[in-house]
This record gives sequence, structure tokens and C-alpha cells, in this order.
Amino acid sequence: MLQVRGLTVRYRPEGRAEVAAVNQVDFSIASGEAVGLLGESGCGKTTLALSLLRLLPATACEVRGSIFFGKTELLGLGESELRRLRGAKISMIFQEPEISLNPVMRVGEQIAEVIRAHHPKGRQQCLDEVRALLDQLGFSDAHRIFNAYPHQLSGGQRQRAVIAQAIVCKPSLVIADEPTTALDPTVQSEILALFNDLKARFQTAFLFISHSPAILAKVVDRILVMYAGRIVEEAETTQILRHPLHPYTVGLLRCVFELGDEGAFRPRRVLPSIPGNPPGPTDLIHGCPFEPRCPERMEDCTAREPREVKLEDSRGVRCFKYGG
Amino acid sequence: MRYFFRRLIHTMFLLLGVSVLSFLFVALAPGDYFEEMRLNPQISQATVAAMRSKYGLDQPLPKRYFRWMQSVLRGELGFSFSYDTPVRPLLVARAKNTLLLTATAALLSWLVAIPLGVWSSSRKAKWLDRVLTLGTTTLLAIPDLMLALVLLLIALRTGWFPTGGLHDIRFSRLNAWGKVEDTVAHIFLPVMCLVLGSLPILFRHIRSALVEVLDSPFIRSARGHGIPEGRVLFLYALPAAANPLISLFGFSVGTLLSASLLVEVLMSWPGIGPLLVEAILARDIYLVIGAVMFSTLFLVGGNLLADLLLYLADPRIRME
Repeated sequence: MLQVRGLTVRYRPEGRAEVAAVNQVDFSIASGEAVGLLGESGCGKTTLALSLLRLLPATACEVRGSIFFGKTELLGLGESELRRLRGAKISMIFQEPEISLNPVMRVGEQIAEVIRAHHPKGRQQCLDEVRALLDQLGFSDAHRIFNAYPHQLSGGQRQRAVIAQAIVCKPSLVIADEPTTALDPTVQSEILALFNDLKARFQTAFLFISHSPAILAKVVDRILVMYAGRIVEEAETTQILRHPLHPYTVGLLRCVFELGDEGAFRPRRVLPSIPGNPPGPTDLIHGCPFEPRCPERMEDCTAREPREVKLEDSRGVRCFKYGG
Repeated sequence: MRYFFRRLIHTMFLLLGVSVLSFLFVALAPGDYFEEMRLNPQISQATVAAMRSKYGLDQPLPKRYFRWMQSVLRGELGFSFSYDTPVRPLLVARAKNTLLLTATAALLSWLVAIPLGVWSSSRKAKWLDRVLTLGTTTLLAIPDLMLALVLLLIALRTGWFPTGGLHDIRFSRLNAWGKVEDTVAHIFLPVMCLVLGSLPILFRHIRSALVEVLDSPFIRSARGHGIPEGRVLFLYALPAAANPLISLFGFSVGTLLSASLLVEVLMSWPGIGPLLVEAILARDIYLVIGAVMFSTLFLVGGNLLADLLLYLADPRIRME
């Protein structure tokens, strides 16, 4: 359903040199599939998501490659066609639900606005549909969410309102950018359960962006690992958890999961982490971008960038260990 | 509700304070209304003294203030020496004209400034925005006096508009529609002058408030949901940017009475402006104090109105 080929997004921040935030990215999402995009902050995850909706800021000076949504090339659409697409066919749940709702409009009205933007219906009819949706989603506090202003709601309620807004027009793809990062753990698992419920009920495809493999493992079928604007590994969720290939993926998983541990608390144990930071957008990269932080670096690594190696079970990885 | 009650009491004390201060300042100024008569050899000093005592000007200041206060409570606001009547009817008659002028001007300038500001902010740094910003900056740099004179010159040369006054001489003989037409023709120049004077400031405030809001995440998410741009601007961005603008609106209501002073005098519009200038020059002190009190009342009223509007416009404020 969604086919991204050779997508490159370059920014030109004011007064500075051009930088590539997303570099030659290929991936696809089948309809109804839930795909996770995993990586640290600053890896280009959000830029990738925004470029799918063509919502990049004005400093994005170059977008190359192709994004096919069904038979439509999104990079070739004009502003009014994009507007009809956004929210109706592809919608997005933005980071930080705290600030992605209009502070001076009732939540119910805001959700209804999305329907009105895409269907020629009256205000009352839209509001009724919103009420029906909130009930259908099984929100115990549907009435309260509907009538409240955003500041009167808790973080979890706001996030649910934002999710309702994203699915109210039954889009075929929902992009969720760190939808649970700002929430506390109990609310987090409620929201994740809601996503699983939506997946089952609406057959919506999801692109779920997160920096936490633990969260992705709970909701997605397949994971794309992103580093320095490139997709460095791609595999089914179960495979990636069982047998990660790329040293970066291994590092990320080790930060969260303890292999073969009983899960009991063990104080004063050194928490594993990946040393160093991802390269900044302006840093020059020679060879593999992960090389400076890689525990398994070899001599080849600085010579050139590894190619993507296709493995069995539609896995892919960019690392010299596997012949890239 | 209790908040507004508190504000009302607060306002009373404010007005009391302003009255005491303006009394003091007027008393500090040298001379009084009868100074000129004293210089006139045909009027005897005894007559002048008798008149001064008739109007109570020979009394000590606290006593004069007390007597003025009594007249305020009677609704007269003191006594005008030069018009030989209580101050209130004088002020009310003039204030009506000033309000007609300034309210029209304020309404018009907001009606023009809002779409312009929204339009400009939505095309930030494009040529339209640049042209509008440059244009308003230029307008801002032109002194009001100059603006008024240029407009008067144009009106004189072309003869399209009358250059002064409130009505034509034949006004009383016109039918209803003719009266409206005549008023519009007379009000056009002073209104233009006020609108052109205040437009740049309003435009800049509206533009910058919107530019800030348009950068916020909820606008991006509205666009991400395909909300049409017009609705994004007027239904999302404008209400969210309204708070500073409402405060500005309250302030502009507050300055309605004084803002037009210069224009009224230049274009001989029979408002409070010319009356106040005359009164000051003639040391017609109670008239001056009355005008000052009127202005204060407007300022306080404007702010109260702004608070009320803020309360209605912003659910976050309503909560508190």
C-alpha cells in the first residue's frame, strides 16, 4: 500500500550548510500491517514521518525519491490534493499530545472538524459521529472528553482524543510519532492496548515511531531500525527480538532487555548503553555511520558505506558483518 | 462575578485617586480663569474678587475639592466658567461626537487589520508579507499631524470631502438617508486619519501574535489532519492568538477619547478634543478635570471590557 523508494530529505537550516536528515530510505507497508520505526532521537524518524504527509518545515530544501501510496505518487501532489489526503487517507498522531490540540476549542469539536474537513456534512452530524466513535472506542469517560477543553484533560485522555482525531475518517495508514513517550507507564499500556484494538478493528496500517524497542514489541509486526537517516536493519518483530543482526540493534535491545535474566531487581548494576552519540546532521560520515560507536568495528567499516544485504524471511541489514 | 465586583470597587478608588491628583495638578498651574480680567483696566479688582468668591476660587483647596465632590454626586461634575453651565452636559454632548468618530475608526481599523495581519502571517516572508510590512512601517513613520494635513490637502484640492465640522449647514432639512450620507462624508476624513494612524500598530501586533501561534504544534497537527487553510487560520490560529490582541483592544477602547484629540482639532470635529484644548487655555479647571475623569473612566472601562472578553474567549482563564 505504501512504497517508499530512495527517499532522501535534505535540510538547509538558515545560514548553514545543507544536511541530509533522511538518506536513501526504502521500505513498504502493506495494508493492515503495523510497522515500527526504531532509533534514537535525531536519527531522522520524525523527518521521515513528516515527509510521508509532506508536512516538512520550509527549511527542508530537497525531497528526492518516490513515495507511492497505492497508485498515487505523494511527491507529485499539489497542496489541495495533499490536504484531501491528510487526515482522510493518511493521518498522523504527533509527538506530545499536550500541545497538539487546539487549546481554545472543545475536544469534541476538534475531532468533528476533521470529519468536516473531508466530508460535506453538517456540524451536528459530525458531532454525533464523534460521539459515536468515542463510545465505540469504549472510552469510559467519553462524555467528559467530548465536552472538555484540552487543558481540563489528563495526559492519557488527551492522547486518546488525539488518537480519535487521527482515526475518525478511517484512514488506511496512521503514523504515530512517539505516541506514548510523554505518558506515565500505566497510561502507556492503556494506549498501547488501544492501538492493538484499533489494528484489529479498523484494519488500519500503522507506522509506529518509537525509541523504545520494548514499546514497539507490544504493538508492531515488523521493525525498521533507523540510524543517521538510514534504515540499517529490517525484520519481523519476533525475529529482531530473538536474533538481532546489526550491532546498533543489538545495542538498543541490550539497553532495554536483559538476556536470560529472571527480571528480579538488581541494584548497582551498570546499565548497558551504547557509548557515544549518533552523528549530528552536520557531522561528516566516512563509511558506516555507526562505525565510531560500534563494538564490532572492522577495518572495512571506514572505507565505504555498507550496502543493504537481503536475507531470508524478507530480512535486511546494512552491515559488513553480513557481507554489506 | 465576585471578581468583577472587586474590580468595580477597585475602579471607584482609582477614580477617587485620579480626581485628587488632577485637582492638585490643576491647582499647581499658575493663574486661573479670572487672571485675564484682572489685567483688564475696565474691570475693577473688586468685581474680579467677587466673581472668584462666587465660584469658590478663593476657598482653600480641600474645601474646593469637597464642594466639587458634592457637585459630582449631584451629577454635574463641577461648573464651567466659560460656558456658564454644569460640566456634564457639555462633556456628554461632545463625547457623543468623539465616540462616533473613534468607535467608527476603531471598528474599521480592526476590521482591516485582522484580515491583513492573518493574511500576511500566513505568507510569512513571502513578497506579500514583505510589502505589507514595509507599507505599514512606512505608515508608522509618518506623524499623525502630517497624515492629517495631507488628507486635508487632498480633500481641498479634489473637493470630494468636506474638510471640517460634523454636519452640513442644511443638515436639518435633509431626509434620513441624506443625513446618513452627510455624516459619512463629514466623518470620512477624520476616520481615515485615525485608521491610517492606528492600522500599522494593530497590523504588527496581529501579525506577530499569529506568526507565533502558527509555529505551534497544534497548528501543524491541524494541517496534518487536512483542515482547510482558511479554517486553520481563522478557527484555530486567530482564537489562540487572541489574548494579547484582546488586551490591545481593551487598551485601544481606553484611549478612544484621547486618541482623536489632534485629529479633532485639525479637522474641527466638535468632539472632546477642541473643548479640552479651549478649556486648558482658558483655565476652565472643572471642565479640564471633568474631561480627565471621562478619559479615566474610559481607560478603566476598556480594561474591564478586555478582561470580560478574555474571560469569554479563553477557557483556560474561565477555569480560574
